[in-house]
Amino acid sequence: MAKESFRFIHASDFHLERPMHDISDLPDHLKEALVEAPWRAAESVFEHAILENVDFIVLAGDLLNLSAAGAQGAAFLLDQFENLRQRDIQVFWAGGELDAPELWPEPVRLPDNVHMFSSDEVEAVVYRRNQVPLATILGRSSDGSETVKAVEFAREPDENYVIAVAHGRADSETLRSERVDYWALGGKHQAEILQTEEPIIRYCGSPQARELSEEGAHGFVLVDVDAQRCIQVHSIDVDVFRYSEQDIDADDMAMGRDVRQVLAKRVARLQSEASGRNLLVKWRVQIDVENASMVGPSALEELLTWLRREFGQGSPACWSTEIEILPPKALPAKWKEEDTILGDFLRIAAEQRKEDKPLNLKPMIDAETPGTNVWQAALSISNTSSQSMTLDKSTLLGVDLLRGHQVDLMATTRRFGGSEK
Amino acid sequence: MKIKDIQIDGFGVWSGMTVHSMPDTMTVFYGPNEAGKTTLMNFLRTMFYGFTPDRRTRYLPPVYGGKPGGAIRVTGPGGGYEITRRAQMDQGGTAGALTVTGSDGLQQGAHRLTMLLGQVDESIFTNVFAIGLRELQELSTLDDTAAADELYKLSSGLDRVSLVDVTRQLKTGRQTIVGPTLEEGQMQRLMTMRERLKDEIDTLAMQGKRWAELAALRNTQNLELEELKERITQWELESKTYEVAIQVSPNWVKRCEIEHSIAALNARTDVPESAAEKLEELNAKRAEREDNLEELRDKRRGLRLEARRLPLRRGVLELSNKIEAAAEQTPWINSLQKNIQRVESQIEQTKRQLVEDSQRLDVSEEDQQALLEDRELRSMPDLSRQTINALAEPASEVRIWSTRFKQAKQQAATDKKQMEQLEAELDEALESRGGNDIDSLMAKNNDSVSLLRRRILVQETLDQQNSRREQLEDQVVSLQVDDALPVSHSMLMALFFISGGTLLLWGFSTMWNDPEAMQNGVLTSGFGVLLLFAGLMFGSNVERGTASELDNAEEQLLALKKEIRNTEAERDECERRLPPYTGSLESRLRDAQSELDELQDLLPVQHNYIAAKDRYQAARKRASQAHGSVKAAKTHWQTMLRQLGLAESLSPRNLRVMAEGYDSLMQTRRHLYSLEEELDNRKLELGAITQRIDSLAQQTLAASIASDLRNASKNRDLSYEGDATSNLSDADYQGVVAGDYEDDDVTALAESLDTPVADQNPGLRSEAAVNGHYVSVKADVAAGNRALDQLAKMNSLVASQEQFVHQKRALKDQDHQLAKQSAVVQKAIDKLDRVHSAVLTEHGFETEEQLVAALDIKHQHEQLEAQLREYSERIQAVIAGTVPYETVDRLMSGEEAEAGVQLRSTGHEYLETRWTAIGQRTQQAQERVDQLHLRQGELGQEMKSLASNTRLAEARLELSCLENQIKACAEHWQSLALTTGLLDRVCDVYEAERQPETLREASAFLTQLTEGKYVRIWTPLGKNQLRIDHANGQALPLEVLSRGTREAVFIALRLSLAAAYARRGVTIPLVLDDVLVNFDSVRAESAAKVLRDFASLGHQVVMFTCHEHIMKIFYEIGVQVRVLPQQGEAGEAEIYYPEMVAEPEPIEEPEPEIELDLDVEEEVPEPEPIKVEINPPSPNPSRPVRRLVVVDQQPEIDWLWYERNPDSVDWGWVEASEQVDEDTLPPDLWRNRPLPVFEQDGQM
Repeated sequence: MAKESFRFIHASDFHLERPMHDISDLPDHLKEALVEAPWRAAESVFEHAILENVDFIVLAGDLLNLSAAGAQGAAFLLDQFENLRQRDIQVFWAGGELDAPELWPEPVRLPDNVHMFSSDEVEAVVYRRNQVPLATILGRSSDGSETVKAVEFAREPDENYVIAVAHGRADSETLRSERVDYWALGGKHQAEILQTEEPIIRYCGSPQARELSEEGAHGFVLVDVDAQRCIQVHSIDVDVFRYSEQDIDADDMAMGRDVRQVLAKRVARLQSEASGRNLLVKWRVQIDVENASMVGPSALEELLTWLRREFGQGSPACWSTEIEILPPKALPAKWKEEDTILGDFLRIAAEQRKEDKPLNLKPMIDAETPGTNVWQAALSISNTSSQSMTLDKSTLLGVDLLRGHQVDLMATTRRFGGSEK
Repeated sequence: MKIKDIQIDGFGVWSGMTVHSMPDTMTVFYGPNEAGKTTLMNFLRTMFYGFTPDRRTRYLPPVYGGKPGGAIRVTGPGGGYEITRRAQMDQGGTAGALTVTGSDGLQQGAHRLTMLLGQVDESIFTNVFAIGLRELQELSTLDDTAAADELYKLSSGLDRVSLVDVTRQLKTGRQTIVGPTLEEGQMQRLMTMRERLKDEIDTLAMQGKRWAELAALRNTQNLELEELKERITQWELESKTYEVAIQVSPNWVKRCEIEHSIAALNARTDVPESAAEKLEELNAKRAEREDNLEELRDKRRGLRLEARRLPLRRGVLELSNKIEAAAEQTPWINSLQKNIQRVESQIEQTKRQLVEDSQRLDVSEEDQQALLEDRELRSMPDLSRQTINALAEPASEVRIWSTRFKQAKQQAATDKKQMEQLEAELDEALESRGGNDIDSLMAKNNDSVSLLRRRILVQETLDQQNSRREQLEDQVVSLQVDDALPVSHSMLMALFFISGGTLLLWGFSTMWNDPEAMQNGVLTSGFGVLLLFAGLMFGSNVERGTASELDNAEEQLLALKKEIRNTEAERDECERRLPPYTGSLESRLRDAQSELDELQDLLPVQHNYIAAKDRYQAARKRASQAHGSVKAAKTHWQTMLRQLGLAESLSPRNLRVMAEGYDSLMQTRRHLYSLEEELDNRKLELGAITQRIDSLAQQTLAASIASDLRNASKNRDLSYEGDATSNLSDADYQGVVAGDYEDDDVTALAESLDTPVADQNPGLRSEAAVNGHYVSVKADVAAGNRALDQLAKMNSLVASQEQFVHQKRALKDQDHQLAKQSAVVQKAIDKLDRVHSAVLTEHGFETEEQLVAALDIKHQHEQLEAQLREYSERIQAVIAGTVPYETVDRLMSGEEAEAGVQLRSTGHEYLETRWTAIGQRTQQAQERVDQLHLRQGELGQEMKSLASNTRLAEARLELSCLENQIKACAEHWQSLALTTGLLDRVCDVYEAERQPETLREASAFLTQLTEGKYVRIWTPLGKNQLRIDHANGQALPLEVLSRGTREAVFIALRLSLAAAYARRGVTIPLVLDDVLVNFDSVRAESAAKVLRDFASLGHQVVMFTCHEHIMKIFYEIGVQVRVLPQQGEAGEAEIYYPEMVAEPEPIEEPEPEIELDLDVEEEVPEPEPIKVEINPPSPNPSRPVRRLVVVDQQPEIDWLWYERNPDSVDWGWVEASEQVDEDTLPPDLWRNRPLPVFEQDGQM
C-alpha cells in the first residue's frame, strides 16, 4: 500500500568536546575557525534539517561528552533541538558511550520533540504524520558494549518503514538478517557503507574530522524515502577543515623541477578537491638522500615556512602541519660499505634494526632529566613501530651529520612556543 | 697519485705559472708572505675537487688575466695523466670543464680523477691531507680542554667529520630540549604550559557543572511557580466558598438541627405493614407436622427389638476365615494318612530283605537283630572299605612283580633269537672270504689297493721317461747331422761375402778407372772389406753355438737313462709284492676296491650282533630279579590276610566277592533307616495339622460362648434403658440368656473336643493343649479322622451364623425406611421455623413485639423529613451556582467536624476569620510568584553567558597543540638520543678496531718529532681524551703540554692518518702550509727530517713556507725547494739555489721567542760518548754553526710501520745541545727535561 514519502537525516559522532588534533602550530588567523569547526559542522547538520524540511533527525550517538564539553555543549544541543521543535522536526537520539541517557543531567529537560532511546532495551517509536504512521524507529542507546546486537532489533513486521539506530561496531551479516530497512549506525568517525542495497547499513561518520587519520570529506546522510519505499541516500559534506596526508615520492619529484614546484602543484590539486574548505596537510617527502642537499632539519623547516607563507594564509587556507622525510627504502649501498664513520654508523644502525631489541634510553633520560615517571613516560620509546620510526629518523640524521652537512638540530622544535623564555 | 707538473693558466694571483718535474718525495715551495702559496694550494684543491662557490668567489676571475683554470700532470695507477680543469664564467657548475687525459692520449672521464683520489672527498682531503697554519694557530689559541678535544677529534677523525663534534652537537641539541636545568628546557616549559592549560580546562569544565546546577535551579523554580499559581487559584475559589458559606450559615444550622433529630429518632423506615400477618400463618402449619413425626417413631422401636433377639455370635464369625482355611487342609490330611500306611508296608518288606541277606552271609541271629535295631555287629568279618584298601597294596605288588617277571622273560627270549640270527649271518660271510674276522680282512685288502695304485703310477712315470729319452736321442742325432752351418745361416753369410766382395771390387775398379774418384773408390773398398769381415765373424759364431747344444743334449740323455733304470727297479719290487694275477692293473684295482666295500658293508651286522648279545644278557638279569620280588610280595599278602583274620588261601578274587555282599547288606540297612525316618516325618506333619484343628475348634467354642454372654448382657442393658426407648421385657431377656437360640452345632463341637460344654474353662484347656503338644505331636490315622470331624462341625456352625446375619440386615433395612420418613417430616417443621425467623430477620427484629414498636417510630420520622427538605431548598437558592454545592457542603461539614460545638455557637465569626486569612495568603503567594519570575530572568542570563563562553574549546585546542609540540620534542629528543647511542657504538668500534693503529703510528712520529722525549699517544677507551706518555713513563694529559708539543702531536696524528690512508691504497699528496713555524730550529729540523723520511716512504709531501730558515732547513737536509715566481708574471717555480735568495725579505716572525732561541749561541763541551759531526756550512753566513749530535740510543719506534730511508743512514736524531740555555728556554714542557748530553758533561 502506497504511503506518503518522508525524509530524514542520519548523523552521529559530533564529539563537540574534541578539539582539532595533529596541529602543532596554531596559526592566529585560523585559530577561531579551528576552535569553532566542530560546532559549525554540527550546526550545519541542524540547519540542513530545517532547510531540507526533513521529518526527523536520527542521531546515532557520541554527540558530546557533557562533562568535557562544558556549558556550551549542552546549551548548544538544547538550542538546536528547540529550533527543530519549533519547526515540528522530531529528533531520535540513541546515545553512544559518551552521551548515554544516564549521563544527561536530569534537571535539564530535553524538548518534547527529542526522543532519547533507553540503554536498557531496544525501544520502538512510530513516526506519524497527520496521525498516519510512516516509519518505525527502533533504537537503543549504548550500554557500554562495543557491538550492536542485531537480534535485539527483531520485531514483528508491519507496513511501516523501519529505521534502526544504534551505536557501536556492527557486522553487516547479522544486521542484514533483521527486518530493518535502514540501519543508522554511529561510532565511527569515518563514514562507512556496509551495505548499499536494502537493508542499507551505514555509518555516517563525524561531521568534522579531528585528526590526520580521519582524512577526506565529512558530513551527514540525508535519506529520502518515497511513497513506494524507494530510497535515495545523499552524503552531504559540512566539514569546515579537511585533513590530508600527502606523500611526495621519487616519481612525483621527477615530475617537477624541484620540490617546491611539486608541492605547489599538489596544493592546487588539494584545494580544488576540497571545494573551498580549509585544509590541514601533513607532507611526507621522499628525497634522494644521496644527491639532495636538502635533507637536514633546517632545510625542512625552511620548506615548511615557505608552504605556510605561500598557501597557509589565504582563504580558504591550506595549512601545512608538518613535513616529514620518508626514509628511503634503502640507503646507497656504497655508503654502508665505506670504511668510514658513516659506514660504521650505517652498519651499526642496520645491526640494531636486525636485533630488534627494545631501545633503552632510560640511562640517558636519567642522566639528562630529573628521571621522574613523567619524563620517563614522555621520553621512553614505547612500542616497536615508534622504535622503528625513531631508528629511521636517527639513521637519516646520522647520515646528514656524518656526511659533513651543517645541521641545525634545533630547527625542528625551535618554532614551538616553549622554545622562548 | 703523485703530482709531477703544475700549470696555472689563471687562478687568483697566478697567471701562466708552472712547476715542472716535481719529485715523488718532498717539495718545499718557498715564497714570501702573500706570494700566493695559499692560492697555489687552493689551485690544487680546485684541480682535484672543482670550483666550489667559495673558491670561485675568491679566485675567479684571475687577477692578472688568463684563462680560468689550469692543468696538473700526475702519476698514478696505470701511468701518467693530465688533469685539466677550466672554469666557465657564465656557468655556475662546480665541476667546470674537466678533462683527464692518459699517457696514451685518450681522454677519460671524471671517474678516473675520483679513482686517482681514492674516493676521498674534499672534506676528508681538507681534514687529513691539508694541514694548514690556520689549523695549528687555531689549535694554539684554544684552551686546554678544547685543544684536547681538537686533538682527540683528529685522532679519531679519519673521516669527513669528527665524531666528537657530532656527539657534542647532539648532546647540545638534547639539552636544548630537556634543558641542563629544568627551567631552561624547552620541554619543561611546554609541560608547564600544559599544566596551566589543564588547570584552566578543569576550571572551565566546572562551568558546565555550574550551568547544570543553574538549569536544575531554574527547573525547581519553575515547579514552584506552577505550584504557587495553582494554589492561588485554589485559594480564590476557597475564599468565594467562605463568602457563600457565611450567607447560608443560619438556614444550614437549622437544617443541621432537624438532621440531628432525625438521627436521634433512628427510625426504621423500611419495615412493611404486612409482616405481622405472615407470621401468624406460619405458626398454624407447624403444629400439624409435629403429630406425624411421633407416629413414625413408635414403629421403629418395634423393629429394633426384633433384631436384638437374633443369636449372633461375632467371635465365631471372626474365626470363619480360619475355619475355611482349615477346611482346605482336608485333602492333605487324607494324603498324609495314605502315605503313612504305604511307608509302614515298605518298612516291613525291607526288614525281611535284610534278614535274608544276612542269612546268606551267615550272619548270626544276634547280629541280624542288631542289624534291624541299628546296633554294632559282633562276629562278622570286617569287610569294610578300609580293610579292602589295606589289602589292596600287597595285592597290587604281587600283580606288578608277576607282570614284570613275565615281561623280562619275553624280552630275553626275543633278544636271544635276534642274536642267533646275526651270528649265523656273520659266520657265513667270513667263511666265504676265508677269514676269521672282518678287521684283518679289511687291512689285507687296503694293502693290496695301495700297492696297485703305486704300481700304476710307476708305470706312468716309466712311460714318460722313455718318451723323453726318445726325444733327446732324436735331438742328438739332428745336432750331429747339422754340425755344418744351417741353410739360413749359410745364406746370410753368403750375402755378406757377396756384397762385401762386390763393393771391394767396385772400389778397386773405380780407383783404377778414375784416379780422380780415388776417394770414393777407397771408401767403397773399405766398406766391402768391412762386410766381408762381418760375414766371417757371423759364421764363426754360429758354428760355436751348435757344438755347445750337442754336448748338452748328450748329458741330458745319460741322466735320463739312469732315472729309467731306477724306475724299472721300483716297478719290479711292486710286482713282486702283488699276488699273482692275470688281469690288467686297473681291473685288479677295481676288484680289490669292490671287495673292500663289501667288507665295510658287513661292519653294521657285526655291531648289531654285539648289541643283541648285550641286550639278551641284561634281560636275563632283570627276569631273575623280578622272580625274587614276586616271591616277597606273595609272602606279604599272606601275612596281611592273617592279620585281618582271613584265610591265607583266600585269593584276591574271593575277597572281592565277599566285599560286594557286605556292601549290599549295608545298603539294605540304610534303606530301612530312611523309610523309618520318612514315616516319622509324615506322622509329625499329621500330628501338627490335627493339633492346629483341635486348637481352632477350641477357639471357636470359646468365641461362641463369649458372644452368647455378651449378647445376653447387652440385651439386659437395653432393657434397663427406659420405657420410652425400649419395650424389651424381662421375659425376652431371660429367653436370650437361657439359650432360646442355642443350636446343636456348638454342642457337637464341644463333645468332639471331649470336654463338657458346661465346664468350659479356656485357661485349663489351653494348658492341656500345650501339654499334649509336648507329650507327642505324632498322630495316627484315628487322630486324623477326629480332626476331619471337628472341621465339619465348625463349618456347620459358621453357616448358621451367616444365616442370622442375613435376617438382621433385612430388619435394619426396614428401620432405615422409617427413619427416612421421619426425617422428611422433621425437615418440613424446620423449614417453617426458618421462614418465621427469616421474616423477623429480614426486618431486623428478634421478636414479633419489636416489629410492632418499630412501625410506630417510622410514622414520626416521615414528619421530620418533610421539614428538612424545606430548609435545603432555601440553602440551594442562596448558593445558586456561585460555588459548587459540594465545596460548601464539605466546608460546612468539615468546619462542623473541626470546630464542633464552636460552629454552632460562633459559626459566623469563625467563617469570616477564615475568609480573611485566605485572602492574605493569596496575596503573599502572588508576591512570591513575582520574585520567582525575576530570579528566572537572572538565571537565564547567567546560563546564556556560560553557554556562550567558547574558551573551553579554545583551551582544548591549545592543549592539543601543546601535546603535539611536547610529543614532537620528545620524538626529536629520542632520535637525537638514539643517534648518540649509535654513534657511541661507532666510537667503541672505532676505538677498539682502528684508533690503536693510528695512535701507534702517531706515537712513533711523535717520538721522532720530540726526539724521543714523548713516546706514546693513547686514549682511554670510551673517553674523549688524549694521553701523552713521557719517556719516563709518566702519562700526561694534553692540557699540560706546551703549544709546540701539542702541535707536534697534531702533526704526528696527521702523518699517521695519511699513512693509514696509504695503507688502504689512497696515496694523495700531503699538503702542508707552514706547519713548522712555531717550532724552534732544533725541533724544526727534526720535524723536517721526519717529513723528509715520511716522503721517502712513498708519500709525496708538498710544503709551503714563507720562512727562509725553515726553507733552508729543508734545503740542508736534501729536500728540493722551489721558489715561487713573482705574482702576475708568467713563470716557473724554479729549484732553489742559495744564491737565488740574495736579498731575503725581512720576515716578521710570529713567534719571536723562537727566533730568540735560535739566536742564542753557547759553547757546550762535547760529551765523550757522543759522536759529533759538523753540519755542512750554512748558506746563510749569519746563521750559527750547528752541530749534529748522533744519539746512541735511538728512541723506540714501532718498526712495524716505519722504515728508515736507506739513503739517510748518516742522518741521526738531532739534539740541538748547543742552543739549549736554561735561561732562554721556551715554555715547551719537553725542554724542561735535562738532556743526557749535559748529564754526561757534568754541567747540569
